[in-house]
Amino acid sequence: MAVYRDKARANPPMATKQEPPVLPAAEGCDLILRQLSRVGKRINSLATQQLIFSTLTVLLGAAAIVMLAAFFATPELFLVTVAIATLATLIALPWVIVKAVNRFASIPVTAHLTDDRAELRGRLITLVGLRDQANRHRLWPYLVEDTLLKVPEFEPARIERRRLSPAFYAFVSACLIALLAGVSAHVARQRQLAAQAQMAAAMDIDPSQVQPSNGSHGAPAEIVGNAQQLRDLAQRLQGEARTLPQDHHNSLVNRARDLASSLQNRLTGADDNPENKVKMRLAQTLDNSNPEAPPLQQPGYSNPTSDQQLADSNKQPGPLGSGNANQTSGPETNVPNDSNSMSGAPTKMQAPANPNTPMSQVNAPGQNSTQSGDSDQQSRQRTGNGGGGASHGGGTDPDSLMGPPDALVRHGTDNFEIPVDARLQAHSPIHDGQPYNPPKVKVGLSSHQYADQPLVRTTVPANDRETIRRVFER
Amino acid sequence: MNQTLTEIPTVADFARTFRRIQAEVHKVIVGHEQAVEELLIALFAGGHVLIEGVPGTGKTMLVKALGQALNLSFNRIQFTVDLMPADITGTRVILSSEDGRREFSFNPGPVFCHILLADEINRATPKTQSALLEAMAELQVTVSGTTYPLPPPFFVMATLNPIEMEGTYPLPEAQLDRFFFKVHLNYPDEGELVRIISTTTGAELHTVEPLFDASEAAARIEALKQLVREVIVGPEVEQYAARVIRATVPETSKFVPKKDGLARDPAINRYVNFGSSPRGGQALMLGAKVTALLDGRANVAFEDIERVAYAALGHRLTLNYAAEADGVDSAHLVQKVVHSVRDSRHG
Repeated sequence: MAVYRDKARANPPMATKQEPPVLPAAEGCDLILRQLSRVGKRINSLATQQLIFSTLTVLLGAAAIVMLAAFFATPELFLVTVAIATLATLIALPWVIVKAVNRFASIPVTAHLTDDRAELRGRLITLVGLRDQANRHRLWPYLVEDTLLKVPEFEPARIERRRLSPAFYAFVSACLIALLAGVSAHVARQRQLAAQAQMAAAMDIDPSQVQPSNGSHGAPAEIVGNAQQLRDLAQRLQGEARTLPQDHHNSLVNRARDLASSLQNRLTGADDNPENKVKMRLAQTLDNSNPEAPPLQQPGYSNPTSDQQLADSNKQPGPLGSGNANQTSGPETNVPNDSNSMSGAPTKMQAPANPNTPMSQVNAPGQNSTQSGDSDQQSRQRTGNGGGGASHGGGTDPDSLMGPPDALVRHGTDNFEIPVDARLQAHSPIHDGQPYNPPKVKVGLSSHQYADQPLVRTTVPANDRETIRRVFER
Repeated sequence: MNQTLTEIPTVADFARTFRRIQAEVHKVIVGHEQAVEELLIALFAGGHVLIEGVPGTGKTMLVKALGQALNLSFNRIQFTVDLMPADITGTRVILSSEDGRREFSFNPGPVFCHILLADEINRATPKTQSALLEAMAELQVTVSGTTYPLPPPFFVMATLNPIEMEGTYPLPEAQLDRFFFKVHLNYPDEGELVRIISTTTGAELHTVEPLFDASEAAARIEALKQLVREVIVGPEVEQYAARVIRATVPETSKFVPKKDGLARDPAINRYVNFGSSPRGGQALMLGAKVTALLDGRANVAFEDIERVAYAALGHRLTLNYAAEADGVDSAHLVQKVVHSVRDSRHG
């Protein structure tokens, strides 16, 4: 092994002022490699940090954006945001992983980096590359000693000053954004609950404002009303549905919108019980809006407070109303499909999700709309009251306020659902510039009717008000 | 490796000697720092130099000053169109001995020296120019079947006049390739010109002092040349030099069976007919070794390769007419080659 002898000490090969350490070449080489190893550990530590923090940053950022969009964006914007966030995540995740993995440095790569950063002019890569062939080079001891002089120049702290990867700061930023999103979502959620708690539950709608489904596959809204109104509405919707153009594009858009809405509900927790349907009560049409019209509400029960709240809520420029299917599924709406249930109780109608489905197909088996119409005709003839199904409530038969039980049995099974595409209009077609205010009808009770057996007027649970509101906004 | 480093010239010795020679030369040569340095790099790398410059820029003065500083034997041949090969290599003549017998005796030509100045080499015929080929490449001369070795160190400095091309014989590519470096001597700037005028027209004439004794000068130079070859080159640097050479070869070259690693820069493919030969790679690496020693290192760095790239490769690129039409020179192309390979190294 070649080492510097005394003569060499007296005549150092480098024209430097600093005396090189007296070390054998092999020992000096080991010392240099150990130093290089420490530099490598530092670089690899940063690479590991970058791998972890970058991956978490991407995932957390995407989740925060999706959550924010779920709370604050419309379904369309939410869908676009989710698509972009997913795509960006799929692109960014492999990219950041590959970039971080590429930062891991082996000993030769570390030597290369150290040479560049400490301006060692290839000393380290030469040492690392030829350490196994050291004996073949006569200037090897000189190279080792020359590099030993430079050891202070490639201390780990000088080659890589950072102990913490810059990706950590990006991760902290993503955490802050996520925290902000969480707080915003919580606040929004609390506001929703507070608003729902204050809003009235009942909602009357004008039958003329109900439109057939345009292909939406969302949860259908449940509409209650008397049999004649529901029948007329069903026939009208059926006729309008036939005239609707079969626009495949609109159908896809509606499906996408429904999907986005459903996903938003799940993320925001707004739709805790998706089985509950929004129930809306049909009001009298404009033509029949005189005070003497048949009652829309349960006979024998009138809640002025609720009516006032209902009127107030309808006047609001915001959502037309909100309700909770849990509460509306009380005695007023969940009427059993038997003859007894038709005694003054509104008939429940659920619009089919598929607009092409005829109304007769969603009726009870063995019944069709024609039969129902016939029965109703017979009923009107027997009672001598031609005011329509709603007028049956003013009959004198305490057992069947809506006519003879045999004529109304069939109406009791008229259950179908229709999707409602309704929104509050600033300029109502009914009253100029005024929101629609459903007529209030007061009907005197029959002498055979038990006044102490009213069906309880319920309010929409707070949890479902947001759902109803979104339905109307849609 | 049982010998100590002091038995050979040290790295510091080399750098010190190099700088002293430079200083001596610059006593009479004003400016041209890069040309002088490249000249000395080629000398210690064991190559020969082709100096190109307009008349009056100090080509002959430079060579003479170098010979005086090194205290080596120096000859000058003025190449003309009627110069014969024997005028360079020497010839056999009939001499009478003391006993009256006549016999052929070899009369060495001017090529038998340490430093040879071939002035305006492009004015001689190709036959005469080729007489230098064997001497430059193999350091020997063969006359009438007898080979005569040249005394080391043998260093040829040929000058080339880029103007007055009428009646000249441009050097063929094969002969150009035998020159280690091509050094360009440009016109001096105003400050240098003032110094030239003042130092050469005054009463006091500057002279070059020899650095070595005549008896040991050749041995010292040879020892330093040997030290150059001892410089360590890492595998990555060797690969880098090979890539640089490979990147000078256009992809359209029909002499390259494997196209991988050829020129990435479109300018090379457009303007270069033939790239550098492997001899260019040798020049690149040896020149880089000298620059490493000058920097006090025993290893070659990437920067050393890039530093001598143009001097080593510029005259080895054969450009086409498109380059001439577009005014593209080899310096520009070598720079592009180096950048492209450097980018790939960092990438």
